[in-house]
Amino acid sequence: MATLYPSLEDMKGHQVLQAQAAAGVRTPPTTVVTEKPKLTSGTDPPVLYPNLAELENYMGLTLSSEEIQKNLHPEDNTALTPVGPTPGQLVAPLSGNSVGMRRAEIKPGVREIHLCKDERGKTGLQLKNVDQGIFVQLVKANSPAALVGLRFGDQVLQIDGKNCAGWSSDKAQRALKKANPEKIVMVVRDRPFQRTVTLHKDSTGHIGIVVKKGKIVSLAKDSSAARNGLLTHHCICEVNGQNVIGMKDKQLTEVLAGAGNVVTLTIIPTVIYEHMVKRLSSGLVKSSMDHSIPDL
Amino acid sequence: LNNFNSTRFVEVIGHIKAVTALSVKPTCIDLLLFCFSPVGLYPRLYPELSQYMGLSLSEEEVQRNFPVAAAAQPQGQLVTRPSTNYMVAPVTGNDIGIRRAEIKQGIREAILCKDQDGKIGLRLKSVDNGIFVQLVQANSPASLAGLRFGDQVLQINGENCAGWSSDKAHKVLKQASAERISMIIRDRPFERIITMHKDSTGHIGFIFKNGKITSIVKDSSAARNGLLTEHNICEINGQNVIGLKDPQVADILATAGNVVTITVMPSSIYEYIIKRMATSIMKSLMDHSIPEV
Repeated sequence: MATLYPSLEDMKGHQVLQAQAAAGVRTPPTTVVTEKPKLTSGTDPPVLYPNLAELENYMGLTLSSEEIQKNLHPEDNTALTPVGPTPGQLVAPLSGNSVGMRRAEIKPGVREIHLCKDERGKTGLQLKNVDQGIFVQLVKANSPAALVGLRFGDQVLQIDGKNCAGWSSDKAQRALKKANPEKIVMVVRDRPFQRTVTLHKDSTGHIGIVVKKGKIVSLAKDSSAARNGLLTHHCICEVNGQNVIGMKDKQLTEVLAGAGNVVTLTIIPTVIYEHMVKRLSSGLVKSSMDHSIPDL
Repeated sequence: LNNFNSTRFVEVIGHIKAVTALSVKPTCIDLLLFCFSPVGLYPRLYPELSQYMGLSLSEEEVQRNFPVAAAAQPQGQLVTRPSTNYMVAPVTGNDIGIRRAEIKQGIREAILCKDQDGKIGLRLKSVDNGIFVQLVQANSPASLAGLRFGDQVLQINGENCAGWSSDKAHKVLKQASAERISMIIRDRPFERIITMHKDSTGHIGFIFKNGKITSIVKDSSAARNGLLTEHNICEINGQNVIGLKDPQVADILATAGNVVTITVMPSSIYEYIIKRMATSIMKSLMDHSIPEV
């Protein structure tokens, strides 16, 4: 089974390190900038990948061998033994165990949550019918819904034991209104229409996308976005797991700038996004939507 | 936070609670724990099991029965992601259909060679400035490499496919070396899987026409699991069914076993991907084999 990587940069980095290890080169724990290890081998196999130093220029990444060593072997920093990953494991020498990646991660499963209403009897949740399913359209900041970890795009399968299949948005809101304020039991599927793409900033701090009104309109050539196959006509829902829907483009840029080198975007096709936010008041989105950073 | 792959689990627990009052405990525990997937990352997730289900389970027993994976993941490289590591599936178990269908959250490399006619049996389509697999021909190098409808091709022989037209992508493939073509693939980004269970009459609970889901039956597994209309069925238990006639699809569903994992794609996106692909090609050439796991 093929090895999986969260981003293209991880794949290239891992392949280079594997090639070096196979050739018997030890990557010394110093920065690559000062010392450029050359691939030497006795049998002289065709060099398939540039060495790590070239990789740095190739992808505009500033990689220090230290960083990679830390991501691969926290305790053992002597020889780099190519540990064969067991099938299905993600190998991420560059993305490491990025917190952003873990916050954003969409788990393909079903979970049960318990919701209570606040003192005014509200849940802070607005639901919408899409394709005979009920979806979370809005999670208000500092609301019970935000507390319990609901996010834009989550599909609600059941409310208090009743299937939501085929309900209208009104019916769903009424069900919430009538529910017991002490405890509402909901069964939720994690953001089915969205997916995450992990990107890396280059040396100038760019991932290579142009965003207008929260939508990706173009990709920069030879950027991390292009390499990782990010698509246009998609809306950005989250940056490193933090909801950014409804933010002004300037705010979004700030969030991206402060995001660290590994950026995990949660995206949704614009066609579907527009369906989901239909009849959602933009005032509500700007003023009360939850934009906090989720706990892990 | 527990994740289950079907809402049936919640109901089964209720049932077991009622049944255990009468049944012999050791067998009940065995059956239950056997079906539980290893919870490597969260070994202490089930101490409350003993009270919750009215079973007398000592914590030692529970720990013993869980093949706990490597204790703490080292910070960084290997991040275990397969769903079997955090999903609890007492009813579905370690179903092979899910494993065949599972969409892997990552990118991988696929190496292809051309066949004696110089073809790889692949048709690509440009969608949203990305390149996607539109057709994988049966018994072709592409099908051998495990490519599937809807896979996104990120690179061909080291070149980013971002912004290419379908024609350019085909040209690059044509000009590529016959010995070795390297493709970087992102697993079916527009698709997702839904696992459902047949009821006592063998029905999952949805109606489809021309491969598209048109309605959901009330109180069925499909309704419970939130299957949506306006979606096209791409795969059943990982087997590609695009282009098959409705009776053929119904056949596959009928013989699929009690646990059925369907791979779906929103119809608007599906229709865009197959645009301008002759239906005759879809029906006659497409690969409909059962993938290996």
